[in-house]
Amino acid sequence: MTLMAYAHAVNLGLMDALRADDRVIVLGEDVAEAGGSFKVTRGLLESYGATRVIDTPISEATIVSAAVGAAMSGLRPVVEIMFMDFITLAMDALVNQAAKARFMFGGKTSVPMVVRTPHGGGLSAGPQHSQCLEAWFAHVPGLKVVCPSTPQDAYSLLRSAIDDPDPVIFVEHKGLYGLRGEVDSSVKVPIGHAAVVRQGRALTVVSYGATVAVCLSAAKQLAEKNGIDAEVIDLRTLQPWDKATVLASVRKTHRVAIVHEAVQAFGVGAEIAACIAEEAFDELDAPVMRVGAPFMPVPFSRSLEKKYAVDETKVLAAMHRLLL
Amino acid sequence: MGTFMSNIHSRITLNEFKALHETMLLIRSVESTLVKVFANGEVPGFIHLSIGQEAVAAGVGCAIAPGDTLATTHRGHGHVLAMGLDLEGFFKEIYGRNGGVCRGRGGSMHVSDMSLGIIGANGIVGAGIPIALGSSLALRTRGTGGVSVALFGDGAMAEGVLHESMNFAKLLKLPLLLVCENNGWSEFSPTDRQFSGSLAGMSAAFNIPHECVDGNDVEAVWHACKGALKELRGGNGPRILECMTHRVRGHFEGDAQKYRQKTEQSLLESADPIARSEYRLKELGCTEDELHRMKIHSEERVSAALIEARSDAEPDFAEAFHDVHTPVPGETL
Amino acid sequence: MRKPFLMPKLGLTMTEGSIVEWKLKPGQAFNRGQIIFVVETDKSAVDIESERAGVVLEIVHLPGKAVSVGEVLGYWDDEEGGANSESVVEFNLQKTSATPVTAVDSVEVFPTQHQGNDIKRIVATPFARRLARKFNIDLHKVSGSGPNGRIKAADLPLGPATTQPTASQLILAKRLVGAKQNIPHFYLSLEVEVSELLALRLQLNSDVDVRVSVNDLFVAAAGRALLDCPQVDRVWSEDGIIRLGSTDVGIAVHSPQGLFAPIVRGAGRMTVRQIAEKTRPMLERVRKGRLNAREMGGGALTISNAGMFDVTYITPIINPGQAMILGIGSVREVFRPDVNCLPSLRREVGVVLACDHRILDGVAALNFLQHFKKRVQQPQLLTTLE
Repeated sequence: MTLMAYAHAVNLGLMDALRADDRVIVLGEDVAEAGGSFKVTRGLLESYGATRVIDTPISEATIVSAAVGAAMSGLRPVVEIMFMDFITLAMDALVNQAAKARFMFGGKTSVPMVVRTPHGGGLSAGPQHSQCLEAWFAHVPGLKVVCPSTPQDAYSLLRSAIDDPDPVIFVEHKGLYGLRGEVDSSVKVPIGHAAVVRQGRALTVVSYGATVAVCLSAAKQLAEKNGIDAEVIDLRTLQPWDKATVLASVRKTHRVAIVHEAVQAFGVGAEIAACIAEEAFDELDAPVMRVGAPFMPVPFSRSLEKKYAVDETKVLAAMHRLLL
Repeated sequence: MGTFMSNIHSRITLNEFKALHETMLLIRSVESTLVKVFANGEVPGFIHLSIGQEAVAAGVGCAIAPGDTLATTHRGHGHVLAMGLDLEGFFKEIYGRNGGVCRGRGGSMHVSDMSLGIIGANGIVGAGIPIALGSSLALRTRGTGGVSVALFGDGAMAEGVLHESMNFAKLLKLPLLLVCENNGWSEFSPTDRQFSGSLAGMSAAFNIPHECVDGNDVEAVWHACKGALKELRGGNGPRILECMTHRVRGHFEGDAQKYRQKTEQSLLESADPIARSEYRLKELGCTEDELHRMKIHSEERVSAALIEARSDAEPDFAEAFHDVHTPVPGETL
Repeated sequence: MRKPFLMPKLGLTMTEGSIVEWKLKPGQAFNRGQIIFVVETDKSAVDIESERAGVVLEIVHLPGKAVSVGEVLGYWDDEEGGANSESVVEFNLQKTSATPVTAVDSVEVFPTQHQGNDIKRIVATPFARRLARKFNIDLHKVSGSGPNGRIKAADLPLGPATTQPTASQLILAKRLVGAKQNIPHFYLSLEVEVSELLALRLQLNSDVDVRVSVNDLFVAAAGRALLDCPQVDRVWSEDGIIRLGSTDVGIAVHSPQGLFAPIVRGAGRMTVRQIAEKTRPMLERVRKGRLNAREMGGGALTISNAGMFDVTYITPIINPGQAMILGIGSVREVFRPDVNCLPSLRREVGVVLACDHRILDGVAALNFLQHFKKRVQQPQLLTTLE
């Protein structure tokens, strides 16, 4: 058990995976010599050499497709896309190739690859360097999508993702890279399992990634000022999401909000809300709420981005609306 | 015969040539049959036929060794048959039946078999190229001695992934062979109206050895391919083989090809790779009778496979869910 | 200019209250002094009047749920020009909600007045419907407290196993738990002779209109005792020990609406008649559940008189914000030996003084209790001011 930053936890996950399985290779732009633009892959080249830790040209479409081909030919590639915004260049590789190879070739192959990519804003990185696009991939059959919120989950979910026989989009948050937390490398977190990070009876808040901490903070305030206890669930995996845990919570509290940093419209929250409304209709004592970013590109100006962001105040407002 | 350069590094035996010829006959028979059954309305979706391009398929398919991998295109029937794909499984897939090589999940554009080293047939133009690149990386990293071949048409020359892949493969000196089946047409447009450069020019830009062969001369293709693969196995980095050929049918079946000149017709006939191959075989001592028997044999194989395909069961829908994800040990669906 | 209605702080220790009723709807104008809404705390329901004339703009919080002091309850317009003033309060639901403005406004801002439901369609949550089915409750007979009169689970008359506490029950529970957890109580008890007190009361009530109750006499005695012992007229607060010196005495009163503790201000400097003049209308208002803000909060001491029941001692819980509570039991006739060791009939009450040990030690508390006893046993002095 060691206290470390989220970025370090990812680094450790990659190191341990490279050591445990010869088939694992790491590739991406500036991942080897430079150790990654966020230093997440620091030291990997020195430890494992250029055959297994590969600097690629700026060719997202090709490097992700190459990962598909390499995965189909016996390796377990972990590709880094430097900012999730750039994943758009690799959409064919992920959506038409990685996601479908197993299915359209009759179940006779698998694509055991991982795409690691940091999403998220709050750093004035601007509209093309701050997006949260995970909903797109959760919508594609054949892909798995995970989004850890803590260093422990980052480590354990990365190991699970690399071990998974299918393509996994591993979404990190650039603003969480410095977040410190305890990491026990023997802890296993399977894909598809959510965590109830705060127990409560009055209402449920479902979230993932950086907004989990925001929800916990709002829940603390709600308890201290109003004596109301909210249950907070960290999804950890978005596709497949842990529907059983969420529905069990809704059956207990009868009030639920889904919170994420990503744009609210057509986001992950929309699918979860619809499932809850359909499968737990008779448990609901209030409409299902969602809190997400407004329908706007992420603005650059600090004051604009602050208003854009999903913060405690917005989460509390949703919680209060649930209680009306 | 060939007006293009071709390098004959080694001789070819009669049996080897016969194998090439039989492969082409099979492909021709399959594709011609598909023309008819598609016109009958028996085949769902779209099909893209490679009549006229058999020499490239046979030359490449027979040159590849076990352990090598190949990525093909939407016009890949010839390629996969040349790699030895099961004929019945092929037809069943075309018909979308349960016994198809992809269990009816993919269809004409995706007919492939991993166990033969075919790492997919792609409906996205050029998409197979970086996938083959990745495969070559894996084969080298694993030290298997295998190499990867990406087949693509001249229509893919304008795709960015080709340029990116040429760059990347060269930087890493990957054992990747890029084979361009240049039939002069990018869907419905002549390629010279779609691509301002040339494959030779691009290869020079990336310092990748480029060879051009008469794509309708199966012997030339085969020799060129074998030579290139040998170079790849030597670890000298990627190579490009451009095979000049002709597409007889339209971009897809049903394409009336109004955009093509009638004058092209005679050119196509004189370029027919099978006719040329017959000529060469006779030169090497084959009899008319033998040639005829070879042809009948292909046709019979095709007829038999077709019967099986037409009567095969439809795939089970619930079972299709099993192929969305790979089951993990202990997982229940 | 747009201005907020904020949840008022109606007592030293009040942290939250709930709205009982909005007297006006959005769009309605009001005059200075007009009651806009009614707030319920754990002590009573309080009418909130406007200091100025204006027009109600929006209602943010609907009746029934606990709202923190200082939180925005709604908005009004003072009909003077100027830019909209933003509330400085943390919670500002309308402005910071991430949902599109239209979606928020259309549901919550203009609550309908009717509490019941139309014959044609019942508006109820799925959960409420399920419970209604399960417990055979006719939803037509239930009035909903949710937005637009929506029936929620909490509105259903369910059996004891599933009663949801009301907002004021929750507030009271929280206060009592807080009192027991945070205030180190110690207790002193005495028997106090009340024959003289009872006799005085009869005498006082024989000739005038305003009747003096036994409790009024206890209040007077306690007030004088506070005057005698100013060092106990103090309370503990987060900012330090506050010297009150006001001789305010609270009275614990039970009503159907719950337990309230109105304060008699300056009881130590009033005659018992003056006290009676104050307490009688106050108790009327308590019965109606309508105390003024001035009548609540403050004071170091409350009297909890259980005399009307048959109980020897009661050991009450100190009201947070105060330092002592005096529990008085019922009058009992007992025989005690007199100076000649002969049985003598006495009328006594058992008195228990619960004290906040942070402020009072045993000596100070005993001293105060002795003064209270003295005052009770020499009640004539309570009829005049010294």
